[in-house]
Amino acid sequence: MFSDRHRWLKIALSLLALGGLGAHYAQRAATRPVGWRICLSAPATHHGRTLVLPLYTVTAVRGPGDFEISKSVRDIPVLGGAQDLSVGDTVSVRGAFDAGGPHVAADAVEVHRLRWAKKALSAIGLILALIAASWAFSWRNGRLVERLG
Amino acid sequence: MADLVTHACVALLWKAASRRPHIASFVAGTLLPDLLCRLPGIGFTALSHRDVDVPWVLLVGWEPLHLPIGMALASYALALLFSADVRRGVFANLLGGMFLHLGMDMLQSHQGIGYLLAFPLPSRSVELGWIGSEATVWIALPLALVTGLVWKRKMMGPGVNQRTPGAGSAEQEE
Repeated sequence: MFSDRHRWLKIALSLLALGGLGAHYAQRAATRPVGWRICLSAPATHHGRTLVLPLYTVTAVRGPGDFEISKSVRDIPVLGGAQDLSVGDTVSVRGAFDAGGPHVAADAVEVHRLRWAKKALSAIGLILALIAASWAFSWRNGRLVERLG
Repeated sequence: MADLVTHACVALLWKAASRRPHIASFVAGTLLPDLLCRLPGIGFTALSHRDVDVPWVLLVGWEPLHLPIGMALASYALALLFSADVRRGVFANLLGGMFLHLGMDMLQSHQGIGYLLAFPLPSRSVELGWIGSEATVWIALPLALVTGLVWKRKMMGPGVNQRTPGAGSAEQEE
């Protein structure tokens, strides 16, 4: 398993398996029992279903408690919840699917006010990690080498 | 996910305490789940918000790299890039770092949307929800300071565990 025999074939098969898992996950995410896309496909059937939408970005604000959020799925209308949102805010929304809009009737909206700080820290971490990686690893004779053991 | 500074600091403190080898692989392992999964996901999502037609699989298909099965496969593929004599150690440390990352992320609350630990087997998502998703922002900088002090003391003390470039490779020593 860890020998040099068929090394590149084993790497290729691992990457192929990762690709298959990604495709399977995407298919599962699109057809999971409770999701915005599924609710939209049969609104009457899913009316009242609880939806949880964590860490979405506010992409439009039409008025107090009337806004749209996006992540992998775009422009989901939400009614209710937080009153003082701005475009670009990060929110987590829990609510019920309302087929009449269609929209999410929010029960709870958590506003992630410190998301910018977390993103900044991760950006700093990414830059430091890239610098450290060039120091901690090197490439010799077709192999990666740990310089800091 | 916790921020990358916190992830790296916890990994470095763990290695400072355990005094085990393969520090670089372990720390890389704690960072890779976000770099391999979140970074492309965020990038393709940003593209889709600019009206670029991005396939659905490129928006969400990276998620297995943040789950145990994907972590194991990624660690295995990466370990195969190293020489055979250190490969098992590198694999164990990459995977250990990735599991440490997942363990830290599971402490956070995402409104009950956690991690499918048994994926691709059917399972419920799991999260502990003990801290908010931005809770680590407040501890990241103090933690970085403590980590720097611990490692400065460790590097100045006896038993410094630093390899010269290429050491540990049987092929290069031959």
